[in-house]
Amino acid sequence: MIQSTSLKHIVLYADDDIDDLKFVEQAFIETMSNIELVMVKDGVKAIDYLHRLSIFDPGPCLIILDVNMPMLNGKETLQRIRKMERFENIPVVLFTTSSLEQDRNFAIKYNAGFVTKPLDSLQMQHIIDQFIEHCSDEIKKSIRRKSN
Amino acid sequence: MTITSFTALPLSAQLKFLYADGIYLSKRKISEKTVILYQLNQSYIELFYLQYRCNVISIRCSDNVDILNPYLEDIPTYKLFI
Repeated sequence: MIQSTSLKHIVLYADDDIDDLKFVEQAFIETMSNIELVMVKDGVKAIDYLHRLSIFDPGPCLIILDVNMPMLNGKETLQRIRKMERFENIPVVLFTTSSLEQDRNFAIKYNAGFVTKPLDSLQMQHIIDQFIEHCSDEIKKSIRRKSN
Repeated sequence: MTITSFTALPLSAQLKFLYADGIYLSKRKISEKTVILYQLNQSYIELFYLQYRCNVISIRCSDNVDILNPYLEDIPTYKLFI
């Protein structure tokens, strides 16, 4: 039997906007001490990452998907993730510039969260909390926040 | 909400309003600085950032479509003819 223990929780984040990737990465670095952010540039790469995980590899505790991406957008990626047995119940958040009701309803239909991209640092602090709120209770307890 | 009433709000209230009801349209760069364009009802609003999605240094509002020109210029129209 092989067991692997990861000291860090993995969050998979797919976004084609390099500015948003850097921005979210910085926000996690500043607020969380035991999260490893894996960043990919589109939905295809996100699905590919998940497919490449062996049963011994730790899966992400949370997947964050931008909605508007080339190749495979966030909604399509979410649909594919929900068809993967290992990840059919994994916490997913659609992270988008949209605040449209139809996008929000889509997220609800596929058991995902819906978070609108922030406009300033004050909103970002709340958004990291919203991300973490979607993780399982067990993960939430073990996530270590950096003190200010 | 009209441009006049929107611009009369403090910055924090403007951002809350945009966050809830604004429609993201595009973004552009001026040197290292980022500008994000939103539509709010019949108006266009540009957020000028000192630090992307962190520090807004100014907001410009207009109901004139000329505000869209810098964004339209960035669209690679040659791809439409390929």
